[in-house]
Amino acid sequence: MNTKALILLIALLLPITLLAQQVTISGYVTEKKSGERLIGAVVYIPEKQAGTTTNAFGFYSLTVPAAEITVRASYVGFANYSTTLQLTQHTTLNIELDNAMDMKEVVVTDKKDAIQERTQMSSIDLPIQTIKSLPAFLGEVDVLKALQLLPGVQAGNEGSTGIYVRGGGPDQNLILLDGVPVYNASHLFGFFSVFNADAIRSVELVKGGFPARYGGRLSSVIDINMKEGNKNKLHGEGGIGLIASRLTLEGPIQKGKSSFMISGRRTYYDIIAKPFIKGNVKGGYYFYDLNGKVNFRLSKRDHLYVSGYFGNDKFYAKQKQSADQTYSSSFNTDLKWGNATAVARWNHQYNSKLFGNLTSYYSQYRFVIATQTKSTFSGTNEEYLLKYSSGINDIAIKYDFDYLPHPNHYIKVGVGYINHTYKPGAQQTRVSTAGVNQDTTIGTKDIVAGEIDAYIEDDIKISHALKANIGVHWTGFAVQNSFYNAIQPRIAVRYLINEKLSAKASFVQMNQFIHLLTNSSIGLPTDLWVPVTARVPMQKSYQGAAGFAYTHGKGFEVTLEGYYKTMDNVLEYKEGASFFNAGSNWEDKVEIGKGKSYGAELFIQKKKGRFTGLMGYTLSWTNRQFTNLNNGREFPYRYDRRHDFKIAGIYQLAKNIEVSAEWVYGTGNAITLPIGYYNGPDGANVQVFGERNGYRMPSYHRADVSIKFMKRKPNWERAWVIAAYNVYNRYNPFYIYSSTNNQGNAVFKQMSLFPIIPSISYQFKF
Amino acid sequence: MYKNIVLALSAIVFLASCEKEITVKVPAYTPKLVINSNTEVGDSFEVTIGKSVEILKYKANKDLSVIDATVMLYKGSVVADTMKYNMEKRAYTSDIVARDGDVYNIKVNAPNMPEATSVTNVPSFVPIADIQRIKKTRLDAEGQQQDELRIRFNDPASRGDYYILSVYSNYDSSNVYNYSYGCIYTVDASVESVYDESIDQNTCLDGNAIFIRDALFNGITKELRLFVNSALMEPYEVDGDMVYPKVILRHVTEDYFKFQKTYRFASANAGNPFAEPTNVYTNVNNGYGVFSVLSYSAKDVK
Repeated sequence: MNTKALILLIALLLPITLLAQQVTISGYVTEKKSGERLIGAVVYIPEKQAGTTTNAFGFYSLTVPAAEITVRASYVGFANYSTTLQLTQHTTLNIELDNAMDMKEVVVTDKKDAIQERTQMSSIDLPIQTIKSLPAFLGEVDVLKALQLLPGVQAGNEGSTGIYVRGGGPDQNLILLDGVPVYNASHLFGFFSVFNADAIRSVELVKGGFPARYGGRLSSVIDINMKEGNKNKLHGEGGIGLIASRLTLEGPIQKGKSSFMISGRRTYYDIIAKPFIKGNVKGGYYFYDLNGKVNFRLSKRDHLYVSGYFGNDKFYAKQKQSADQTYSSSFNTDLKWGNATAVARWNHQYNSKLFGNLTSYYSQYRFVIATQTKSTFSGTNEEYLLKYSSGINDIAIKYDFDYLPHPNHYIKVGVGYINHTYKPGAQQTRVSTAGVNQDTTIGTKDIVAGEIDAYIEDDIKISHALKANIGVHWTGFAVQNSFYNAIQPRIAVRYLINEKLSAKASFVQMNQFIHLLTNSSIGLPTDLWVPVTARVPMQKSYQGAAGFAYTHGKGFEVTLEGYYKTMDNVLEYKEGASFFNAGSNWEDKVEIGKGKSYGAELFIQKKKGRFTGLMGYTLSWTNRQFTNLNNGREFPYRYDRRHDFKIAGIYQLAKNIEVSAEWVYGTGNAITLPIGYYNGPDGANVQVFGERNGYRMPSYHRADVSIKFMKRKPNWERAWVIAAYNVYNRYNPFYIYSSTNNQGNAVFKQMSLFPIIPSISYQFKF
Repeated sequence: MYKNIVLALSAIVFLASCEKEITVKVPAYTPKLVINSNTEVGDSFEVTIGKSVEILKYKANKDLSVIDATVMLYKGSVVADTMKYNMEKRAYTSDIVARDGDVYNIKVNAPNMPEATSVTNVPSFVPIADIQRIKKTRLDAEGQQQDELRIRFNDPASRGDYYILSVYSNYDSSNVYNYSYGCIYTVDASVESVYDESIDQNTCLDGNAIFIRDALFNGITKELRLFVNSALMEPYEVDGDMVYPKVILRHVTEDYFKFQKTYRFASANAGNPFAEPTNVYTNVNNGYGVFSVLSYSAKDVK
């Protein structure tokens, strides 16, 4: 960056503080009923043409010339707020918004809340109510599967929660739960995500035009916030489904000042099946999640949030047998994996223009497999234990400031440090025979890495029509006596063409200092996070995007965007590499290359009214290129999807009946197929493969439907939900392989996972 | 009733996978000739000629041999022989003897097939100089005793020598004498895994084929240290004679080395739909297989 550009950047970032008779109005926007703070609510002063949005903790601040003003506030699904003030000095105004459902009135949201007003592009916030109303696989509402309905976001394989954003891999998504990275966000080999929708307050996906405050991944940020808990009244909700049940409780600790939320979910197939498992082998599987959050208002200027998540999957098998009085043996095997996160956040409002937040968190992902056999023969004991474990731990601290010196500037600045401990896999063997013990631990030692992040960004209103968000993110990463760093510029511009339509453009550089060794398709718990190494350098991407945002008067939001993204140092398996070869050095299995993705996305969303829904279409091309693969020629990425269409709708059929449906269509995955064969020197068949990913599987399409029967009483609400996944029973391809039929002729066979799957669940609220 | 509910739940939860035959439009494919040669230094040339076919024309146990090919063998660029098809051996044979250091070319033509050619340099004979067995030197990860084998041979001064070594363990599982290959362990940096993975002291290498290249010991005496399960190294008596475990050292060409690695890799992944596909290496222009000559040295472990 040359000196002139640096001066220009500093000039743009410098707040304008010397204007005369400026006064600041600031405070928090909360939901009246629960006392929960609202993220992204709009606060607007029409006389001054000045507006802002609340931050992640509901705080806002506006500095305007002293005068009699009208303050308006709005938020999707809430009644608008308006008040008139004689503003002569710095003023605190805490705003409470009524939920529209409680008001039983039609809400017209302020136009300042509309997408065309925001500088941010390539971002979608999906209302949690929409997520909960969509048809759910086996009755389990899933946040990540709902995100798969958005344009530019592709599901991996059938039924999986894997997410591929704008040609990126699943390792390139930063999934944050209350600001804490979650490293493996799936249960049951990817069929369910770890996020219990009852505990979630908001979900936002950013797939491009990343503001400088985000860093660490190339392709997306999925920012999920847990509910704070109702500050005024005890509430609960839950559900009983075919495979799992859940319960959430929330309420005040000290009315109006502090609250708690606790939520749990567990599958119970293992418990139901237990009486029916015959023989001396007992086994089962279950997963569970626990979410908890408490928040305290320490003073008018200080607020403390403490939250955590804990979840595990567990497969187990046990066997006991004895032949006679002289011999007995037992066998136990456990396969367990899960995440644990804990975070404490302390907000402090220094003054009406400066807001600070200190965050300290811990995040852990652990995978453990253990097998133990014990036997006794004629009084002699033998024991054998084999244990393999891998995972990652993060401990982090960071401080973020929001500084709002003037309605034309919204500055965010922050710095943080993360201590990563990578556990690439250790195997412990313990053998005990007739009192002689041997304990051996082999495998790679823990790798400790330090990461420093710093950023500054300013959302600048240059004129009524023109806004820009300019910033820079710096990351330094120290590991194994090496230091890597990257300066990542970010810029986004919005130009208001008219009150309903704006044009937007953005350019970002993103760097990623960790890699995920994964099969790219199934989401196994053995997926391994590892840091950059001398052999495998950091990933880097440049992404440019441009498009339009439009809000129709009847509540339709429309975005049309085009993007072009390049990625360096992406990973791909070597020829023949298989993730079933566990235990081998991951660096030996991968090739390092580059990728690119480009395309266009159309998204239409209706958030209000009896009918709500969304429609997304993506036309895209995604390729990879590696020196040692496909003879160095470019080839399509496995999830290169030329056409990707999704539509989902929710309709309030009657006061107590809600129906919903969705249909998804996508071009088939790109795979490599054998095209010929010959006999090897010992007569074995040798297959000849065509171009890498040169064949397209049949296209994927599926429809799901759901109907919800509700009954509402003053303090109680219940609903029966009947749903069907893959309602027209399409056999979508999971994978294709060559085989022979009964006549010994070569054929291709397709494996499909899920036929039509009906489900029923019961939900309640009080 | 309760049982039926559980069975129904099982059916839903475990979601029986569905499989069906599908029609795949396979890209156009031109069949090619396949040359395989396993001639040893000092023996006369012998090659098998086959052909590849389109994947959907596969038929179990289908004979893909080509018996009407014209196989021309060249010593350097000079025609040495037209190889004859030997019905008994099901191979094309020649009286030309593969000599250490010579270069041979092969050109194969067959009706309706594109011409295939290849070339090979004959590697020298490298005998095993010595094998030392040191009993019970360490325990493996499961607590089993292991013997150490120290195998010495003299690597030729020429650059780029490749070896494939086999350890034939004497193994008896049911009082029937047979040979078998056990796991071999080593930390020798000159040994390569079939999977191109890093090797440590607990990596089980297939005793049938240990891949070694001389980049780290070119032109000097190599002492290779291997660890083998002690029980597999014990001799066995058959009809009054002691039968000992055996080590075989093959000095091979780079082409054969690469072919064998990828061939074994592909075989190991056969049937695994989640493994990335492997194309087997070939040194045949416009065809498949490997045309090569190797040297062979064997020694008992006593």
